[in-house]
Amino acid sequence: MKKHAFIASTLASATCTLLGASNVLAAMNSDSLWEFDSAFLIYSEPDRVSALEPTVSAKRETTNGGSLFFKGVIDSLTGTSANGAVPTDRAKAFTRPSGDGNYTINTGGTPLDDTYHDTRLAISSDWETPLSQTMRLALGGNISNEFDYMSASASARLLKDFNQKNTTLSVGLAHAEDTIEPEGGIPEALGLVSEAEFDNRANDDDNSVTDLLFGVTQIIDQNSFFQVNYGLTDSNGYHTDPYKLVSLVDGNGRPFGDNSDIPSVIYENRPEDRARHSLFGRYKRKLDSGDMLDLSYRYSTDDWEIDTHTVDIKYRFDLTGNRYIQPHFRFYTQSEAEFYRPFLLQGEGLPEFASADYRLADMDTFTIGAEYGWGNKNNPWRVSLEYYLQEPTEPGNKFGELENQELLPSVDAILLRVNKRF
Amino acid sequence: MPATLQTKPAHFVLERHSHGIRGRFKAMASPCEVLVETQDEQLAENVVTVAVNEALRIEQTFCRYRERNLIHKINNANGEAVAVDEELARLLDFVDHCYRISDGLFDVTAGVLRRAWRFDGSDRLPSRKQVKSLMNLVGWSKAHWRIPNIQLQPGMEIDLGGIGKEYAVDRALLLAEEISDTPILINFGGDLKANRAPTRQQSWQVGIELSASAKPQPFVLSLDQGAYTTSGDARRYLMRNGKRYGHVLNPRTGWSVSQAPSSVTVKGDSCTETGVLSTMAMLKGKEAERFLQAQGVEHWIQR
Amino acid sequence: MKRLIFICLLLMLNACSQLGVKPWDRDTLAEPAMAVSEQPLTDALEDHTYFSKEAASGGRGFGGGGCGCN
Repeated sequence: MKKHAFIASTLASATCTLLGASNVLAAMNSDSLWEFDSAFLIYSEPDRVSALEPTVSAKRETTNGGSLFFKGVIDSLTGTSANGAVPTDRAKAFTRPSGDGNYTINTGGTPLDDTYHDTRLAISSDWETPLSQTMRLALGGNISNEFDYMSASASARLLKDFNQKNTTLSVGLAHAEDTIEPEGGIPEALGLVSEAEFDNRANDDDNSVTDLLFGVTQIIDQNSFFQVNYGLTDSNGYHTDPYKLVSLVDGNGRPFGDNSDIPSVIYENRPEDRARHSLFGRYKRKLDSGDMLDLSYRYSTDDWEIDTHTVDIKYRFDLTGNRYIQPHFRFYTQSEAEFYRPFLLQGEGLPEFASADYRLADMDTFTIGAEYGWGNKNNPWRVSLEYYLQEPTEPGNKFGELENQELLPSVDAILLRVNKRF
Repeated sequence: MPATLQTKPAHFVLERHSHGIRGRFKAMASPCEVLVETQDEQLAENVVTVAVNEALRIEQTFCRYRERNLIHKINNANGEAVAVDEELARLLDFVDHCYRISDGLFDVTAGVLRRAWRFDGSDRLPSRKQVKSLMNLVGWSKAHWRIPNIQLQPGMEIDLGGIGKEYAVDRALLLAEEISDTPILINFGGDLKANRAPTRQQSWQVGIELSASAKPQPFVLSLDQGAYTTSGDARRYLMRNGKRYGHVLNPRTGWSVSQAPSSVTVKGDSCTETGVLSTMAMLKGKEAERFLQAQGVEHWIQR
Repeated sequence: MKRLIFICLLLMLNACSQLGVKPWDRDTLAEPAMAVSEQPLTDALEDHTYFSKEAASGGRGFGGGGCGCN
């Protein structure tokens, strides 16, 4: 649904066209044609991963009624992350992903991989242009790069307005090509982790993703609208996380092989194909009090048998003096991937696919926080503080020593974000 | 082929002040002034001449009631298409854009409603039937504008009076700046624009007279640079059964806008822009404040 | 399931033609806070955070680019 969110800015460029000698006006007013926005997110899991994410965008309305948009994000990650192996009552050593050296996990702790620093840079752009009074085309591109992962994607979307612009239908297609070049090369799928094995690896592998998105945005009345999107995603290629492991446990529930202090772990392996459907609905309403409600629900399902539900609620309290406070609550639940295995048994044949990554397990997550906005002209300043709790469901098939361990502890994080428009 | 227009000789008065030289004249039915920050009388005279000539040219070219201009031809074409020149084409593109982004509130074809509404302070409201039949001739969407031709339904009229003065201020300043880059302020009847802040004083001081019903409240604007336009509803109205009908008419209904503010002043980068915004704010009646706040422009509203 | 969704969408589209506002009543809807995509940077940061911590992603619209974190 096209909004002349600021009639003033499209009016400004129309006036420039009218008055002709635009170099005089443009010299004075060029900064009023570009809108800049910036945000800085600090994500912190105590004792685990932390991320700093500054991002900047620039947007300009073009004289034909379209727009041009550029964005850059830097994602700087440090800390440690669960590698999928099971905790146990004996200290154990793991090999670093690059093969250079070992690190030791003390008893009982969730095995974490400590070579987790990564900086990602992503640049994207989007160009929207009207094709007729009621139809628009948007084309976008994105390049993302970190030391072990490169992604390039392009998208096209067609939007058409009906019913005096009360209804907008959209259809979009996107395609991405990713290349993953992990530290130490591509590990052998479900292969035993051992130092010797590092010499025979492929350097990289790739993955391609195609997305199809259908959307309807509909105005209900003067104060509200709803939106429904249906999406299909087909992803082919390397989905495995080359840094994640699966433990092979013995009859006592310990991940050690015979006569060995070195844990028996193998690299995980995920299927090469993943097809997903998602249905998203959103309702936004401005109330008589001036407050605003933003409610959304998303359902998704795929052929890895991961079913998810997400509910997101934001309620904005309108305060005097151009300020607001907006509490936010989000609930998410997912069912485990069909090949999710918190551990495998030694001596049994290996399945074709297995992953112990807790992010594919049966899990509920909760986010609660609030955002505070202030300043004239659409609250250029915003600050948000949120608490995010991930609660994976502890596997029910534990035995032996595993019963004394927590395989999937809760993970919590604090998110602090500051936004400034200028 | 438009007939040659006769331009009146530029007639204005120059006054010297401590901060500069002011030129005064009358155009577009309003008192006009041009303030030039210079002590050089020749320069001031050149600047004022350029501004006055442009004001008069626009008045003659786009005024609805001048007999020999393109507008008159368009309004009397009786359904025929009329080819327009480049300047009018740009103006029509602009008013077309304004019509669309205002969802029909800003409409240059609404002038015919004056045949039913005479704002003489009496209680003679038009009849519903009168207004309804005039409304058949109102609506920019009923006009066919496709460069270079404009075609109105017979009986329809376009009236650029709503943006004429503001456009004149912007154009006059543009031309003035081509011959000098000293600080200049152009004020045509309360629609004004300054190219830069003055150097000899803190800021330009302009008195804007906004007469609210009983007590006129002039206020003095201190400005550095930028454009200001004021739309007002106070002087012309009809009064019946204690209810006031202001002269701002809603082009969609043909009736007086209820609870229109008595004046709206908007600041922006050009008078044409701010003129559209202040007009739209008036048309929004009691929603004027919310509308301008949503646009994020500086504004002053008096009720 | 897919057919059910498709039928629902068709019914909704039909119902849609009865809803809506006249062009001159779009004041509130035109306010920046009521825009469909009011905070694109925040939305993108949120989508990225949840994409890297959870198994599902997207739904709102096209995101940009992958990151190998899922």
